[in-house]
Amino acid sequence: MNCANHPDIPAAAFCRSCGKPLCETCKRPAQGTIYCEEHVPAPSVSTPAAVAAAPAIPAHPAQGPVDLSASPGLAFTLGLIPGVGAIYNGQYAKGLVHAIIFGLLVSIVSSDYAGGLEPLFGILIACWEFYMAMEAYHTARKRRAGEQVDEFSSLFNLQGRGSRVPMGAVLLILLGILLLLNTTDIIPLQRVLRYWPVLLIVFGVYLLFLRLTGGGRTSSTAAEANPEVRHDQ
Amino acid sequence: MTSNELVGAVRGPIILITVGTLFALDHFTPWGFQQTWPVLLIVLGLLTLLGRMSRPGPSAGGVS
Repeated sequence: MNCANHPDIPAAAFCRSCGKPLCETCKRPAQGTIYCEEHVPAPSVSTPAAVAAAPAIPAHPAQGPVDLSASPGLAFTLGLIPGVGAIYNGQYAKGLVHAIIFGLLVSIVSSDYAGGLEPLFGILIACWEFYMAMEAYHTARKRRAGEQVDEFSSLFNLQGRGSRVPMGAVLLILLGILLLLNTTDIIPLQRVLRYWPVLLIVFGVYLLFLRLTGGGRTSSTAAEANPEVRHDQ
Repeated sequence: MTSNELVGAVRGPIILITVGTLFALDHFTPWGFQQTWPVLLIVLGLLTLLGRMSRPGPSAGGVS
């Protein structure tokens, strides 16, 4: 196949957007792949797009300062105390969230809200305990290796940066409505909490929806990027 | 001033107004603060939602 603009020169690469064959003089490398003259992104646009894409693609971690004082072993030990492991890594908001979730789980077990599910929540507490420790351990290792650690790098994406659905805000509103109904004695929380398996169903449907609409952007873009890189070799 | 900045500037005052209203309700009506405090969560969620809606999401620009 020959170049679209120069029919006598063999194509060296293909545009990522339109698939047009391009020779060495027509190809416009940008953001690690090849584009044609029309589809090459403007440099001013490409910089914020690359910055926005960086947290979503774990394969290319941004380089942070190498912190050799971060000890993974100490982080693991401190991580057994709720929130302290994250605070050791300098992630104060995450430490607060860890401690609050730990406290919530303990409160559920000690109240009568669990409704016979105390063993399940007891095991959840144990899992959460070791999750916090392992999370602190891996964050400390990342800091030693000089990889950029985000405040909520491994915690689930509350900001909803990757998705178009603002999960944090919606969850906050739903929680507020639920607790308001409880405190005003319109619908007691015990009656609502009996329907907790609905959460599993909703989460499953949400995951299904993501898969069917191609919402798993990070994995698909990473898979797309590799063949594109191979094009120009 | 963009609408995103407006939401950011208005967040503190609105939370203050909500807290004040809730304490006023606590004093002058049978509604106690221990009953009405989840309203704060709802207001916070609505403000976050507004802040996100006024700002175009990063996925709209698109990497692909």
